[in-house]
Amino acid sequence: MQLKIAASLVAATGALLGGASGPSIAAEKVDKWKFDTSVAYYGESDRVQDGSAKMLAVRTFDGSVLTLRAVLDTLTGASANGAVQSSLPQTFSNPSGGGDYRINPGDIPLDPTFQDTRLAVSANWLRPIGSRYEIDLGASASKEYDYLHTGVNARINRDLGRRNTRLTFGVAFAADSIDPDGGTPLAFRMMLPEMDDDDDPNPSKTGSESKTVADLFLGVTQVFGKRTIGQLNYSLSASSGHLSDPYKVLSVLDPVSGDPVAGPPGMNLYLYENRPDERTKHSLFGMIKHKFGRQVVDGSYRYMTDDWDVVSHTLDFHWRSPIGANWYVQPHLRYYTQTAADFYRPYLLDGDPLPDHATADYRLGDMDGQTLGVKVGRLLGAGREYSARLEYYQQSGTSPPGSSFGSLDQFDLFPSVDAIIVQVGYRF
Amino acid sequence: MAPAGDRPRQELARDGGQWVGRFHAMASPCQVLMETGDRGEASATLTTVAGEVRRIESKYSRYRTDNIIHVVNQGAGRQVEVDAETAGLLDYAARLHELSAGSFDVTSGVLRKIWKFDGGSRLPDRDAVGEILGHVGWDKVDWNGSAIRLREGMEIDLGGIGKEYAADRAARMAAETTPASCLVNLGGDLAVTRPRKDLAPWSVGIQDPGRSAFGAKIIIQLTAGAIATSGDANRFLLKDGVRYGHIMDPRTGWPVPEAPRSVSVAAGTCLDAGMLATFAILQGAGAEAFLKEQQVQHWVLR
Repeated sequence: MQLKIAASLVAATGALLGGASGPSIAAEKVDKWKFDTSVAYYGESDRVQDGSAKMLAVRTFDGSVLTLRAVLDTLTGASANGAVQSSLPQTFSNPSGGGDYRINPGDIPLDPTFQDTRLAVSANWLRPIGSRYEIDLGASASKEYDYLHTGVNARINRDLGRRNTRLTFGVAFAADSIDPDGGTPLAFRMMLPEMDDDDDPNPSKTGSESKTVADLFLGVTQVFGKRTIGQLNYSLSASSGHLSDPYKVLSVLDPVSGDPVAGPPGMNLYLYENRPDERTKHSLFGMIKHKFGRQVVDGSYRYMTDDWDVVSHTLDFHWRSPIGANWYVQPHLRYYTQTAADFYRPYLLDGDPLPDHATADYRLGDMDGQTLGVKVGRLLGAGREYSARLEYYQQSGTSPPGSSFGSLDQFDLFPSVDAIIVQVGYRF
Repeated sequence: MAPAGDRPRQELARDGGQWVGRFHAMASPCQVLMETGDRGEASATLTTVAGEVRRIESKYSRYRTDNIIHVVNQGAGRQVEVDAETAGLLDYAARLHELSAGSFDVTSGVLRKIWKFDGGSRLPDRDAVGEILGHVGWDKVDWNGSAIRLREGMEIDLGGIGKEYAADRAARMAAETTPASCLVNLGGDLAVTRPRKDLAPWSVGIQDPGRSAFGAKIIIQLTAGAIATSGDANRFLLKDGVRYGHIMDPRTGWPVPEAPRSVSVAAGTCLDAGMLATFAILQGAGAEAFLKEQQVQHWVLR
C-alpha cells in the first residue's frame, strides 16, 4: 500500500526539522461574492444634476467568474436645447408636448424639463477554456423613460509564451430604441407649439426610432517585468439608424440682424436637428501602468476618429500613493479635446439652402475638457476599502470662426460648463 | 536603513489589528502575517523570518559559488564533508528517493542542460538524453551520512526541497519569537505557526497556478499546518501539440507524461505538503489516485 508514503514522509520531515508537527486545517475559500458599491453626485452649474448608485458584484466559481453590474441614476435640471441666445425673449414647446417654456433675452436656451431615471444592468460570465484561453460572454440592458438599450458581447483572451502577453478579441452588438413622449421629431421639421399631433395633416413627429451599434475590439496586454504593464487596443464601432437627438433643435436666424426669424404662431423658427444615419468610429488606446515602491502611476492616451470628421484625443493620468499603511491618495488629471463634426453649426441662416445634415449640439462641436480630481481611500484589510472622490470638470468650446454677427456679437455662443463630481464608495 | 536608491529589504505595514511583513527571496514575493498589534514584536518576527529564508537561500542556492552546494558540485570525484544541517537535508533527500521509488532525485538537475523549458518546441535528441542519464541517479552517489562524493559530471540541487524547508524553518523560528499566530507565505508555499486566538483561518490569496499573470487569485484559508503547491504552469515545451512539463522523471530523462499542471496539498508541514505534491505530479496520470490513497487534502489542476 502506498498509504505508508505519507506516514513515512511525516517521520522523515520530523527528523529533519526536529520534532513532530500538528495536523493541518485548510480550505479553499470558494463561491465568495465580492461587492463594490458607490453613490455619486454629478452637478453642472445651473444645468444638469445627476445622482447615481452603482453596485458591482463578482462571484468566482472554480475558475469561472460571474460579474453583475447595476447602476441607477436620476437626472434632473436643465440641458442646452441647441438654440442660440437672442436679444429677444424666446419660447419653446416642451419635447413631451406638455406646454412650453420661455427663455429671457440673453440667456442660453436651456430645456428645464429634463428629468429621467435610468436603470442599467449587465452580466458577464468569464471562464477558462483549456490553459491559455478565456472566454467572456455578456449581456446588458438599460431602461429610461424614453429609451431602451439591449446588448450582447463576447471576448476571447489568449495568453502567449510565459503568460506575459495576452491577446484579446471582442465583439459586441447593441440594439437601442427611443420613444419620446409625443413621438420622435422628423429631420429638420420645425418645432411647433403644443398641439394635438394626431390632427396635424403634416405631422412633425413619428413614433419610436431605433439604432444598432456593432463593435469590434482587438487588444494586446503585455507585462514588462514585475512592475510595469502596458496595453494597446484598437476598436471599431459602427452605428446605424436614428442617431439624432430628439431634444435638440437649431435656431434659424435672419442673416443680417442675427435675430431668430418668426416661426409658427407665438414662436420663432427652430428646426429639429438631423444627423447622418451611419457613424463609424475608430479608436486607438494605449495605457501604461508602473509601480515603483508602493506608488502606482498609470497614464493612458486615446485617439478617436470617425466619418463625421470628429477627431478626439484623451490623456488620462492617475498617481496612487500610500499614506501610512492603510490610506492612499490618488490624484487624477484628464484632458480631452475634439474637433467638430462636419455638419456641426451653431445655427441655420434664413434663405440658405438646407444642408444635408446639421446639429447644434455642443457635444459635437469643437471643444476641450479638463478634469482635476483626487480620490482618498482607506484600506480595511481582507480586500475591504472605503473611498471618497472629488473631481472638478471644466468644458469649453469654440464656435466656428465668423459665426458671430449682428445681435449675436454680444453673446458667447459656446459658454463653458463647470461640473463637480462627488463619489463615495465601499468595497467588501 | 537601506542605502538610498536601494529597494528596502523588507517592509512592515499595519493591516487592521495585525501586521503584514513583506520581503523578496527565493525568486518569490514573501509575506508574514502576524496576529499582533505590537509593532516591535512584528518587526522582530519579520526580521527573524526574512533572515532565516535568506540564510537558507544563500546556503543552498545552486546559483551561488560561495556555498556548500557549489563545493559539493565542484568536488566531483572527491569526498566532501558537510555540516550537520546539510547532512540532515541529504539524509532527507535519500529518504525521498527511496519513498518515491527513485522518481524524486536531487541529482536530476543536470537534465536542465538539455531540456530548455521556455515554451518553445525544441526537444533534445534521444542520444543526448541517454548520455546525460549517466550523470543522474541518487544510487550513483556515495553518501555516508557525513560526507558525499559525486561522480564526474553529476550535480545535486536542493531546489525541490529548499522553499518548503525554508517555510517550515521560518515558521518554527517565528513561533519561538512571538506567541502570536503567524502565517509565513513564500510565494504560495504557506505555513502557520499556531492557530489564531479565535481559531479563525488565515486567508491568503495565491496566484491560481494554472492561470496567467492576469488571472484571478484563489483564496486559501489556513487555520493550522501548511499548504504547498508544485507545478509547471509556466514552464513547458510544446512539440506537435504535446506539452512537456518541466517535472522530469529522472529514471527516463524525459518529462513526466500526463503530469497535472499543478498540485496543492495541505499537510502538517510545508515539506510534507510539498513533497506529496511533487510525488503526485511524478505519478503523471495517476496523480489524483495517489493523493486519494495518501488521504491528504489536495487540489489538482490539469
